[in-house]
Amino acid sequence: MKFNFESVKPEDVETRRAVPLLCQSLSFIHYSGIFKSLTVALLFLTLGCASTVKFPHTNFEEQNSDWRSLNGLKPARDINDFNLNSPVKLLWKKKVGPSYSTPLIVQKMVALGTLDEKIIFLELDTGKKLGLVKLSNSLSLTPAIKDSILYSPGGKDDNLFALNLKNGKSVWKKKLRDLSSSPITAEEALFAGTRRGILLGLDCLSGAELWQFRTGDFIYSTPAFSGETLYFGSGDGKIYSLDMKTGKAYWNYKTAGSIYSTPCITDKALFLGSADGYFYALDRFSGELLWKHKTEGAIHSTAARSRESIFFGSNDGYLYALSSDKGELLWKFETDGPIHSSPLVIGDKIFFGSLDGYFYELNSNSGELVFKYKTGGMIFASASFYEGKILIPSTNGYLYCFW
Amino acid sequence: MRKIFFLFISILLVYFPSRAFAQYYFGQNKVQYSSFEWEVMTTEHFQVYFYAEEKEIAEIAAKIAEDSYLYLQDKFNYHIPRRVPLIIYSSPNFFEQTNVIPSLLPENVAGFTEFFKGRMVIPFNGSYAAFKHTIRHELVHVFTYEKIYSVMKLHRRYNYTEPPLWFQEGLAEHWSQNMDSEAEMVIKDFVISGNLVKIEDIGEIYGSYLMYKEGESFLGFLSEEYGDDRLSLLFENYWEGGGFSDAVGMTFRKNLKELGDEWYYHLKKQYYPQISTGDLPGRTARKLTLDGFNVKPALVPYSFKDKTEDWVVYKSNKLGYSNLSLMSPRGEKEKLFTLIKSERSPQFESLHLMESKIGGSEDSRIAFISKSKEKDLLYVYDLKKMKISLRKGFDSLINLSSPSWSKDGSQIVMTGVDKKGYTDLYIYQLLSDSLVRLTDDIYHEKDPVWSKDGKTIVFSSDRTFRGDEGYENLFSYDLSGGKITQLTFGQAHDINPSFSRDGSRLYFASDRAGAYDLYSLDTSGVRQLTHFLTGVFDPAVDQKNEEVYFSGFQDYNFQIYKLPLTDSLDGQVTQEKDTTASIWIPAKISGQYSKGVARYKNDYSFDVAQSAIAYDAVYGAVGGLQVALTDMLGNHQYYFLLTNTAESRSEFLSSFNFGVTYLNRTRRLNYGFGFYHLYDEYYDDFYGFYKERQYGGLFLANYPISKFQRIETSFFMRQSDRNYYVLGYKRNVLLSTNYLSLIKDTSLWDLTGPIDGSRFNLTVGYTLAWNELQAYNRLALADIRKYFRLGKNSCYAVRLMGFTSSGVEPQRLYLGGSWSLRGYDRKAFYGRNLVLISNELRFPLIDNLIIGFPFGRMGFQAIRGALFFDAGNAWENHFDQLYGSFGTGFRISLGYVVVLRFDFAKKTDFKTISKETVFDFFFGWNF
Repeated sequence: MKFNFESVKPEDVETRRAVPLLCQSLSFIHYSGIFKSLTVALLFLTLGCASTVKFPHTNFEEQNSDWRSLNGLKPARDINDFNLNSPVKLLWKKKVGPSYSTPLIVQKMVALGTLDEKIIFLELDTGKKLGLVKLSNSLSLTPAIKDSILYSPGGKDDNLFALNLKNGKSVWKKKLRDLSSSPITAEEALFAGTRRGILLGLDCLSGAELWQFRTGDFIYSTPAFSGETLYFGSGDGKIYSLDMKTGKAYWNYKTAGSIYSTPCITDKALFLGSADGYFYALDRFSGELLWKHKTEGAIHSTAARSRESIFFGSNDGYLYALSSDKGELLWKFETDGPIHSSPLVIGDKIFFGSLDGYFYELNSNSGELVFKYKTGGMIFASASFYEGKILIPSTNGYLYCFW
Repeated sequence: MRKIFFLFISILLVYFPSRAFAQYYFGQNKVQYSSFEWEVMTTEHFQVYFYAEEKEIAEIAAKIAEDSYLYLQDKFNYHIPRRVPLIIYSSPNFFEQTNVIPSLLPENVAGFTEFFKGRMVIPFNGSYAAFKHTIRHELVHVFTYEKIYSVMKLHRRYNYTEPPLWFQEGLAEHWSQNMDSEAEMVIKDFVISGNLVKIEDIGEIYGSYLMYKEGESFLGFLSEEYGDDRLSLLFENYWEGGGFSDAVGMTFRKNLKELGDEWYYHLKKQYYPQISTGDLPGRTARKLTLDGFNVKPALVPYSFKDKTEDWVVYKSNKLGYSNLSLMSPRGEKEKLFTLIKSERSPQFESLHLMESKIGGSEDSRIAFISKSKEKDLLYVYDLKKMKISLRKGFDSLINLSSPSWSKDGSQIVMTGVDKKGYTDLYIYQLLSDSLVRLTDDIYHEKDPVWSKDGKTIVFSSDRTFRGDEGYENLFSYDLSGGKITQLTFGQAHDINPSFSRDGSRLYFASDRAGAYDLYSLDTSGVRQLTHFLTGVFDPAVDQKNEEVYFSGFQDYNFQIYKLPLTDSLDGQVTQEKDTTASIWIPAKISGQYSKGVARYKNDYSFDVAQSAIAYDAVYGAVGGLQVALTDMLGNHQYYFLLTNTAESRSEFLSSFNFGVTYLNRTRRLNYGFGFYHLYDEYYDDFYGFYKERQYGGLFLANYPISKFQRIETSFFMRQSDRNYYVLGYKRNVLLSTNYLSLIKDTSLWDLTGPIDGSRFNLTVGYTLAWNELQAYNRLALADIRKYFRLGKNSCYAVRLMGFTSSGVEPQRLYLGGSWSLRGYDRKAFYGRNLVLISNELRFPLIDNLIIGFPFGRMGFQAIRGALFFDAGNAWENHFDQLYGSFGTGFRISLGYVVVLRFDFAKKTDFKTISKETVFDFFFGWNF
């Protein structure tokens, strides 16, 4: 016997309400066997029963911590305890479609947006395909998941949609064609920037607009937040600090190039690179320049930090390690392509990909190469980490899992 | 000025399949004068192909390419996942011989990128800065192509159009150099005259130099106004929306027209204020030439009507061919002599119109350079005898440029390029017939002039601070000790030095104040003499030191002007001598990036089928799938034909048509051989339908005598089995066929066909049946065409064609229709003998007609008129009479792709004229 559910587009979900509950909850899952179906059903039922869905990659449980930034670049102090293999080894790789997105990990499940118009779900341990959500457009951004609700652009007519992963039902959808930054949630709000340069604050539950803030140009920079303050950059070259509740600006700082990356925030400082080739450290509260460091290429890579160092990639092909207090160069590591991938720091190791197609593991203290793996495509995306497993997709269509 | 309009037109190639070299009916030749021993240098991102003599240039090219790669991977956010083939030639004359593409490379092509194998092919022309610019320009094309392909493929968009050519070339210019004075000159000229083509209409100047420069200026503006990364973002957005315009809108949130208006306003704001302090050359100087391109004036004493005075010798291109001309000091209206006609004979293949200066001696001799076959030759033209008195080539030198006489007329200094690619100073001593080399280094020497005291040579060179970025200053070479002294300083292009007749002052052109103006240098320092808006070049001062002659740019043309030399022209310029600035040294590829050098091997890979091999000795090329395998340099080519003509399943296996041919283009004698099997049904008015199976081998050879003439031969040996099922008999015979042709082509084309020059094809053929030992087919063909130029777009064209064939199976031809005997059906006449005389007056009707339709604008570049008179006949055995026709027609050019032909003809038997007027519509080039 073979279940043969069609993969379901989010806009179609509501039309399938008559489908029995089990099928409803699985209706967006595309799978081929009864055992797989049951496993997945059980998994989702478990998720649905859980009081809090744990998203290690964007750890919303730690509401009071101040480190959350784009895709939860988890600082070393939080994951130092993991007994990570070094050098890491390839555990599995799976053909999923080319992707620029950072994988989201939901307990034992991975969600990944792909350029071939879907969000695919895989089993973390094995890479087995669990299902997919079909989109109406190529997804180059990273979706957000909070409390089992998936928020993603790419719905019908390029809508931004919220989909309940527990029952496959559409929560809301909003006509928002020119979304250009990955959506991110904080508290009960969802934040996303548009090509027209508007940062939107939306209500997570209803999609209703809470406020909007207009900048001078496109917003590709996904906001980071700390407490009730949002930080993001714009194509107008400015780095903005806003009140998350009202959308009112606290300060802005002008760089000489467009901003594509997301700020990395510490207790006192904000770190971010610009297309002008400079990497900036600003006072988080006043927006004053603390220091800046020149690279030879535009900076698209979001920085990650360890206790005393800050790491980022540049289009000049180097991964830089600077001292976070003075911006002094500690070391730099050359790859053969621009680095858009944001480094992932785990203990004394750094993981990232380059457009040269390699996935790199470096020693964060010395910058020495520990391990590299050729994917055959380009790596635009950043790596994700959960329970000793590191996930990174490449444009060759494969998702790689190292451990 | 060397660069203007001619330096850098990088072509994006489109292949038009053509027939094998042994079967071209006309056409000029790409001659492989030299064979090279190729080697391959592997670097991090490139495979650099070079020959041993140019190893140093190749190492420099590799370094430039690697640096450019790092620069562009940042701009494009892209990594090319393969090594890019980079083929280097040490001289433009060698570059023209490349087999990477089959088409002839005009002199103005500074490099090209071929997309099928992603090859960059680039010559070194002596200038490091130009080399760097060209390599980076072509690499931008490679990145552009790969980036868009990658973005579209990743987003699963497989059906897309490339960005328009103006964007691709503009971007290649913008990301390979800063906008220089020459580009500014062109744009400023158009802005001030109000003729700048709007960005939304830029397609109307498709492929022109102006299109490149407008694209560069526009993208430079966008980069300055919106940030350079916005251009990168445009590529990332390319997959969304319906193409280039949507990507622009998405990236800039404005449409092209809005952005174009911003750019135009910005240019006006920049250039209009300059009118208060500067002038166009034609406003203040006396114009001596009338139209076309007129450049490189030199003064030489000439006696005319018993009066000896300085006349102006210069190069001109008014109608498509370049000439060496001599005019009265009061202008060409008063008196003009054409001394040399170039581009029509192997002696004068090219005068290097914008490159090389002319030397005038005190005793009325003119020294100039012309390309003749592979190399440049030094020519001396004696004005007293009005003929060439010297034609001299040098074994070691490939290119020559800018000869200048010593005062006593016994020596000529010039620049020369050796096989290594170095451009250096050389002196040719006429009496001893010897060549002396003065410099030997990578620096680019140009425009040498002999001082009046004979002790020094003054020249322009990039051997100066930041010369690797293209800056050039003036230097002197002391002939007694070889010491080189820098005369001018600063980040400028100081070019075209010329001494006053008394030798006390040096005149030159420089862009040190922005635009190219005239300057002088003497013991008191540098003075700026002119303040022109656009640019002036090549100063030459008359004997009395009263007037300066020069070439100036205005209205997208160069003309020769003169100005009186008055004190009011003098303005002191402070020249800061930076004696601490060190001279640059070109960087070569280092160990980090160099992965070693190996001998070149013929690694074959699929290529565009550049030729369609003619397997059928009678009918020529056979249709079907043609696949080509070539090596990286295109020297060895294999062509495979496969098709099937079966009409039933039982015939399938026996009806395969296949052929394999190898062509070798490594040497001047191109040759090829192959084998084939053909089986098909044919129709012939004489025999009706018949089936023929033929199989055998072929040999082809082609020897170009020069660019304009060649000898071709082909030999087919085949078994031919025919079944004339309509006539009811079969014949099986072993045949050998020989063709021998002499072909000449000096034609110059406009948009509808040849308009100047001449061409002919003389062919004889003989087919022998070996089992019967008798002539199956003898044929002779003469097709002679001559074009008498009447004006810029008009000519009188004549075609004389005769054909005869005899033997057991003579070849028969049809006559009639728009391409031959007009007014008659295409198959009106048929026979083994043919004669045709065509006369046609071609004249312009409308240029650049643009019609607005609701769906957009449509442009027709040229609509030409024709008056014609034809006479001819084709017959089997007995000629009865000539049939004639006359009439008129017009031709519409659809942009070098196709020409539509409309003819209205009346027929005549030379006694009466038909009442009816025959209308014929067809397509094709004029004969």
